Amino acid sequence: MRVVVFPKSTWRDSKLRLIIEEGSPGSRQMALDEVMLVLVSRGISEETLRLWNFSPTTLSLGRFLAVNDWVNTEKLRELKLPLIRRFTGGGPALHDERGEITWTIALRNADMMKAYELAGKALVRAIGEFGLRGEFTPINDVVVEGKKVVGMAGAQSGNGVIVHGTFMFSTDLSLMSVIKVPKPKELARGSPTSRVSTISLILGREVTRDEVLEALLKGFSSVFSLKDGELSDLEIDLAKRFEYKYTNDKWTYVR
Amino acid sequence: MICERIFRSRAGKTVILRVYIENEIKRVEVTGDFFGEEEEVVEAERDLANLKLPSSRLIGVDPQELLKEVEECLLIGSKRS
Repeated sequence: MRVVVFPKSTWRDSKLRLIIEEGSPGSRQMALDEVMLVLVSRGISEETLRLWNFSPTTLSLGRFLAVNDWVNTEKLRELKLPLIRRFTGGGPALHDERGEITWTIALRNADMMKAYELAGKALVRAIGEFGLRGEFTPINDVVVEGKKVVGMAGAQSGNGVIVHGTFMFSTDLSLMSVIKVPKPKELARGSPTSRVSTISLILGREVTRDEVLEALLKGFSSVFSLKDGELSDLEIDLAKRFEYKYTNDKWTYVR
Repeated sequence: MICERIFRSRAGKTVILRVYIENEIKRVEVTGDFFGEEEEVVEAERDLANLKLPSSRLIGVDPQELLKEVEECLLIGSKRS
């Protein structure tokens, strides 16, 4: 693993491009994040915060997970949910298109642990907007009242890093049955439905996407300076070319 | 035989390690919810198959933890044969 020396400046000194999007299929979302990682690391794209979501509801799998070990394929077929292998490490994640805002930060001159920490700070602040106390639990989770409401996953390319993650505000937790959890993890952490929650469940009222968007913007603004932006033609074009990877079973079932 | 070890790393990641043994180690497969780059995982698998401490660093799992599990697999293998 490369060790990156942080520059003296902070992320507050440079502005992150802010892109807010609606839902798209996982193949497009993963392709775009992977393209952004490469282009940001080479100084071609600006550092970015992107808020988006998977549509339709999708199960994503970390890069180094074996499908047979982590996916309840029968249940996945029954629920007709697509499966996408991410280019980032980490665990499986169920992305409910109506109950989650997914976010991505792409940074230069950063390493993954620093990016997790920065994202963690922003997300704890966002959770605070609902009057709740969030806690960043390294390596890559944010919990409220001991239950996970945010999971993150990252990848590094040169001096660029991308971290993306869930912000579960109203995820249908019954859909988590598509995830198979190896015994040692279940013994240590419990089943997904017992250790994961949503902002709506914790508050006891239905939280809207708009409320969450506003909270996330406040949270990320407390850590990064943001400016409105949009995707470049190059990013859109390259992401279209990368999409084939994420619709290809050779990638999805590589492990 | 295939020796399968499923464990939680000290950093709290779930690792599934499979060691393919036919008299000697033929292949090691490391999967799990850790973080790293593809080349680093491939390199670690190669080092482990040669019973070497992986020089690549994966976030969430210590190379020493991986090597210990492979060595335990070999021990089980030698007891069986």
